[in-house]
Amino acid sequence: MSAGATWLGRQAAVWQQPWAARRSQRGWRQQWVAPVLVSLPVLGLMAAWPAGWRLLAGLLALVWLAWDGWLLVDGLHQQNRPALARLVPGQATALRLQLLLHAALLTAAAVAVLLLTLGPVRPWLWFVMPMVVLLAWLPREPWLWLLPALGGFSLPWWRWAAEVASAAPGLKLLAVLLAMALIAAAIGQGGRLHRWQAARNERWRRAAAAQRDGLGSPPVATGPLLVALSRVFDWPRRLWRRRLLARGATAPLPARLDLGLGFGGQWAELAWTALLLFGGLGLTLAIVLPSRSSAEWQEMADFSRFGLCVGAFSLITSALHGRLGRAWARRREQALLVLLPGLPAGDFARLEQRWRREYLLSWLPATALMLAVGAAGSPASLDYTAACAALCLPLPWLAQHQLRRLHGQPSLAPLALAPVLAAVLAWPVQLLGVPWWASLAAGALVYAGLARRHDAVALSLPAGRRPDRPDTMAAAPRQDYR
Amino acid sequence: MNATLPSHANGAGLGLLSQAAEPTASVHITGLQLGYRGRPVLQGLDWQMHPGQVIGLLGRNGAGKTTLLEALLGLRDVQAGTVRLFGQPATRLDDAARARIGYVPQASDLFEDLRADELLAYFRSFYPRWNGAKVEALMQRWGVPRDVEIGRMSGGQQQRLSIIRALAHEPDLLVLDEPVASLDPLARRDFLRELVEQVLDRGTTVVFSTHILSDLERVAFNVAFLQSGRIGLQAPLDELIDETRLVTGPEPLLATLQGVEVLARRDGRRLLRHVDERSLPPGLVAQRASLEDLFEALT
Repeated sequence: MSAGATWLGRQAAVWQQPWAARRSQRGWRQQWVAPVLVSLPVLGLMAAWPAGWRLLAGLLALVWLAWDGWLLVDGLHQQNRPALARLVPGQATALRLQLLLHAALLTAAAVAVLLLTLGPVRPWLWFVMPMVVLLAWLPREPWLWLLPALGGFSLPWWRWAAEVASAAPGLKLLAVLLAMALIAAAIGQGGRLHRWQAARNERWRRAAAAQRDGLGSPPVATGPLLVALSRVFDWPRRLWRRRLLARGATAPLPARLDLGLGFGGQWAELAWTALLLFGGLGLTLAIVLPSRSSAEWQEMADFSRFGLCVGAFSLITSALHGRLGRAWARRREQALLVLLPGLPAGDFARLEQRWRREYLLSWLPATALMLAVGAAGSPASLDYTAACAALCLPLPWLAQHQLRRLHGQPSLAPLALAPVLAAVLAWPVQLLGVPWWASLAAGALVYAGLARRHDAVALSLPAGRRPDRPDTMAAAPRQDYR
Repeated sequence: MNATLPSHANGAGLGLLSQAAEPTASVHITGLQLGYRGRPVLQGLDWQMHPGQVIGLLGRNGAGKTTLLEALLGLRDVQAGTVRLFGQPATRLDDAARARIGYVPQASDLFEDLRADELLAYFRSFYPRWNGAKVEALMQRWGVPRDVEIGRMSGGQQQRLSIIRALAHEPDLLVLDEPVASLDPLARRDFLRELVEQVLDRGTTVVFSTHILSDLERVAFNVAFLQSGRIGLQAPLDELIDETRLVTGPEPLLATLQGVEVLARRDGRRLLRHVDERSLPPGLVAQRASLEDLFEALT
């Protein structure tokens, strides 16, 4: 094989790998999911606002570019493992070249889209270039995501871009060379720093996967900083556990069972987290914007109601899907737990009742808070927040339905996305003019109806071991284990 | 056995270790020192490997076998000493030297989202010497599924694929870190056969760590014992088994033994090398030492 063919073969292999890997992805990580999800509402807007089609098409193109760019950059970094960089001939070099090539194409395409959409009103090249450099480093240094979150957007990007655009050609060339060097340096060569970063990222990935699966993660996996951060939020749960354990056999059995299953105390952590987040947000607003007029507050409430509803109800729903994931992840421990003398066999209705009560108790303050936000806004805002709250009220029944029928790794998406869906659906409810009290009353009626509904399947632990014939489970004698 | 090593067993004094650096050595390590957070793991280790040698690396859990193999490949920065592969510093190998190395790490390092064929096609493009026929034969013989993503394969299947990948470019140096840990007995036997063929056909240098001593007896021509951060002893396995005797008897009698190489000592027992059984005083009993005895005594 000639040297040229070898070189081309390597480049092709490196380029193809991310696409081949993505093909086997499932769920939201499939390469078409995010762009399609974004495209649908944008296409809807294009239909509703034909005059702005050029702007919206440009926006759509940028989203597609960013998503595909991210997939490829992430895929290249997936290949950049320290041992392979050290031992596979030419691999790191091929990866660097691909990343540079990809960055150049991405920059050119993004600048072209911006020029076609908005015209040459800004120095687009010098604005896009730092973004592409950032993109090239994000998979290797995930903490860089904090940059935009912590005010990166408020940095004077435009001014910097304008300064470079008006600089001498030599300085411009230097800026391009600097960007290229930074992009190339994002691919490690298997050295000490690369190994350290790879090991750290792997630890974080495993810790995140363990958290997602409800297994928790050992402090050694997360590192002292994340442990300290998590303790700020989870100390009420640990306190609740300590107090329950101190009570010993005098504590109610459902509470002890909850603890054994690894579910207990979530409500305490949730309450504290909500207090921290929403209390902190309210305090910050009160300090930063003390002298706003009521009209301005109303505008702010109208503007933020969607995000606040999603945030508040996602927070309380996290207990539901967290429990679902943990039920599956800890099924082996459950198998040992249910063998303990005194534990109920086959009927955990009181445990489910406890979980529903906990949800209701967290839903009430969340709803009160959102109604307060709605009341501060325009009259329609109150109807909107009430509709959103009402739509979130029956969610514990959905969680119960899923938990009773666990046969494999559960999909957490329905519960995790339910508050977003509720916030979207509340919009047409508000447009229909449904008053706030009617929404809440309807939600309460649905909740009560579900409570009276007979489900042929009962909760069975360990999770995933439900008999094939659920009717036999329903027919099993009930045991009270108070 | 709480064994104490003879002073001359700690490195440069024995057998192959005593040879001067030769230009033909595939691996040449001198004075290697490496530790974690102040805890020394490798302490002035010297080691050489020559083409065609098959070396089984033995050591207790935590002795530093993986650390040594990774340092040998330049995957760890050493604190002192030098590691050279094919005459080049291990951390600055050129592409030609890299193409001569095959490595199977302890934990799978494959791209989990790819299928086996995609993975092999990926690596094929980087190696000038790729034996497609051998890959095909091994894939079929070892039953590695082609239509399943690697992440969904069993641990044993991933291990087989990892080995196939390491053998595919016909390396001159093959480093395997516990390669048979996830394999069933039949797969282990087949793998070891392949390893022997590789050595016989190509004169490959093979070093592998394992805890399965029966496998080592089947395939390793040399064994190296890692103890206290050094290669305590390296010798051809058959020779070592032939020359070593476990001698038991009263301690005063054992203390009278002269002119023999004591590999390890414990109350009432000695592991001796180069001992003439006929010259032993009455009251001492000598028996052939097994590899397990050697492992217990020398690691």
